[in-house]
Amino acid sequence: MIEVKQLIKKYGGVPVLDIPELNIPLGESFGLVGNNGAGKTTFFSLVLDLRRATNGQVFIKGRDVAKHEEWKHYTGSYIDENFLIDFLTPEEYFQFIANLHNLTAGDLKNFYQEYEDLFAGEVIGRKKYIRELSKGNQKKVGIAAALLPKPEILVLDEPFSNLDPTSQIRLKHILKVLKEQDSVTMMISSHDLNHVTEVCERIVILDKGLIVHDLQTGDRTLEELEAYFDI
Amino acid sequence: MYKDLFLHQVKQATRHRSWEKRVGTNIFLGVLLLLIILDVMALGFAVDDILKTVYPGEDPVLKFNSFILYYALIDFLLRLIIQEVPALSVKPYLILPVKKNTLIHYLLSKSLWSFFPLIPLLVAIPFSIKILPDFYAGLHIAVWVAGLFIFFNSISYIALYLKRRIHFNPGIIAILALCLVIVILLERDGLISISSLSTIFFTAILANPAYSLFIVLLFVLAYGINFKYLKDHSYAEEILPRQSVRKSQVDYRYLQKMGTFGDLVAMELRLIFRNRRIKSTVYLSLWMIALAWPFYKYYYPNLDKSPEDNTFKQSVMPMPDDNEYLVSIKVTVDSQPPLKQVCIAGDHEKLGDWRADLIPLEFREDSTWTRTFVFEKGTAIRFKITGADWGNEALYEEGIIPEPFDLTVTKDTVLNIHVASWSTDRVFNMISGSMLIYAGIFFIGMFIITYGQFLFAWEAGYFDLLLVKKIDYQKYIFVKVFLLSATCIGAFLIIAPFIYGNDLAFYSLLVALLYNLGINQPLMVFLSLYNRTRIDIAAGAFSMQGKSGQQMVNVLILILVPAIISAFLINHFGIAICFQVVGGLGLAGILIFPLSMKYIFQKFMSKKYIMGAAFREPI
Repeated sequence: MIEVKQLIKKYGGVPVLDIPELNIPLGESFGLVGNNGAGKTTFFSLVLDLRRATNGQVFIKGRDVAKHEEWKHYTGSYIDENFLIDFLTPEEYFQFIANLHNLTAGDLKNFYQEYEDLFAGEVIGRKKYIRELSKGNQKKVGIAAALLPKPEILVLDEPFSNLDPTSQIRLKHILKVLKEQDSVTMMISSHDLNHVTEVCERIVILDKGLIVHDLQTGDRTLEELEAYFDI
Repeated sequence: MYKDLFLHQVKQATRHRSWEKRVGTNIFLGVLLLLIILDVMALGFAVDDILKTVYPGEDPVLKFNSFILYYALIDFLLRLIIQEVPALSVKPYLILPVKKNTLIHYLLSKSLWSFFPLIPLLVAIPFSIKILPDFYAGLHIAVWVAGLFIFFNSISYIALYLKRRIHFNPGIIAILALCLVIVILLERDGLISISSLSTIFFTAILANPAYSLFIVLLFVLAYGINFKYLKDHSYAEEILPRQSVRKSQVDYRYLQKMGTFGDLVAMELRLIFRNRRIKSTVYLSLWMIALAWPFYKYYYPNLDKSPEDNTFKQSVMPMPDDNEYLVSIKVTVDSQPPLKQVCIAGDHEKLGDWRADLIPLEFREDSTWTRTFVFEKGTAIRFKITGADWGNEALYEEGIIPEPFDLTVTKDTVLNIHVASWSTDRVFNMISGSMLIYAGIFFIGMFIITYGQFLFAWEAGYFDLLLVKKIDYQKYIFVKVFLLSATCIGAFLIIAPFIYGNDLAFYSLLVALLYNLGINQPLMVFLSLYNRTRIDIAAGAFSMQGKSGQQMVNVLILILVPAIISAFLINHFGIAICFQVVGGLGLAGILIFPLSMKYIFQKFMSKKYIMGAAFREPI
């Protein structure tokens, strides 16, 4: 599904990411962890063609993301507030995304039902612009918008941060369902080792732009991760 | 403590993001600033001469003082509009063990470091060095200058206080501006006299420095009310200026029926009306366009004026006494002077004492200009023919300013003078003609200049979203172009009815419309691909944030280029050709529209990474 080849990103000659090869097969839930400055956000930005790679390519379904745009049709993503149009109400924002993907009113209605629990009555029908919502609620809007068009690929950067405990559990549940029922290919980064081991079947540790570990999640993975980071 | 805070302030100013841009821009801005300062100081040195020329016979010191209050009023109004309440950068200090009073003094002292109160000083100091020592002692002068500085800072603090308490929307500003205009009109008609008040007070200070204590009192008062207010409302949420909370509930349903295009248009409209800075920019542009009407009505009546409009008629033929003779001047012209008025100027009182516009000639049906005078026998007179202005002298040979005519009156004389041309014909036509063009471009292209500058930077806040979503970028750019074009046409429709009678102005407007649509507008879209700053769209109306030398250069390209082209064409080929060429250029631009769109689209696709990276930077 997603192939990374010789991907290098340099800022001012200094390499911040160097991934010679990485393959994410269809339906895999892929977790990315690393300390600050490891290159997680940079990596996701390159996958989403938000930044220009110094070297190498990212292929989705065999096509270079920098040269073709079909991946946008079936890829949902949320990185940070730059993905939100903060002067819209959440309803207007969802409508905009729905229109971009040619979804019907019925699709939208199903969407609101599906995510009613996640929104917990704080997002829809409040007559507030997105910029007036709390950070956690803004995040919910962003993640939900990524999921609205029922994408085949989902890219989320630190989705659990800023969410209250109940919402974190609900999100985990949503992601699990997506994986099991819809075989969505997921790329998720997180600082919370617990969440990442629960949601992702494969975890990659990034350090200073390099992949230092690539593990299949098992019973002992959480311990291994904690041991690795306990420097 | 104060030293630390002061150093922080200095570091904040010098480390401001805008300095990090290309060195060239900074040098450019620095040089520009220096030029402005030098110009203002030069003005200060020339002020007394200017005052003596414009107001002959009046004491220049008194006259200078009379303007101070008016300048203060205008300065006050401008501050209400432009001045930003300095508040946000206080946040980090609020939780530190800093005494509240110290913090408040620090916050208020930031206002003292403004460039604008220095401007009247830059004019006043040279003036005071040059003129005042003749009349007043050094101490008095020093107090006067210091008094001015304190006075203008007081004005600044009063404005600051009002800005904290009241939210000034464009409506209130317009009303205040109107009041100022009324005050000026009342002054002109002699009903009230703020200028006398100003003269009395500031001259009194020169005579007796003790009067400056009033100014000090004013300053203490202005500073004090600010201090008290901040002290009483020292929570961060109260120090920040009030935001207006009205929500825009417009439903763009009809646009949504138009598919992606309608969606994007609706998005752009929401972007404009739900964000303070963009909304203000749009309203400001509308106000500027409204200025077109008085511009065309009052600044250019002469272009349409015909010689018959002149009202001077020599109704009574002078009757000479025994010792006097009639001298009749009869002037025929190849072309009418630019101001459509011919005058005579000579060394005799009856000839106007060399005033170029005092003694007009009458325009006769046979297209001659005439006037008859009575002089005593033996009077020797010298005179010249003018076009009502010493810039417009009658020429008899191409390019040569003639000597005056000499005549000793010995009998009844009729002088037939034939004027070949006027000395500033070409220059006048060139300047005024090209001014019509770039005034037109300015008014019609107002939105291009203001909104179009940051076409992509406005959306910096969600640019990443636009990049990852499947948006037809050709349509995306087209929507922007469409909106800009609509504003041009809209501006034309607003202005045109007001100037319909004035042919020249109307055609210049049409030409400006074509040029803006065909050339300036695609050009601006292209230039805005080089937006590299995230614009804070929640900021105040007239924020300088995001502005750089780049913007000035852009405006120069949009307006200066057609101005220079027009000036050149008018000078060599006349106005008609100029209109045709400029209009033709615009039309050509419109015709190659699909090509320019394609080019801009390709440029966008290659520049989007750089733009995205720049927009991701925090403000």
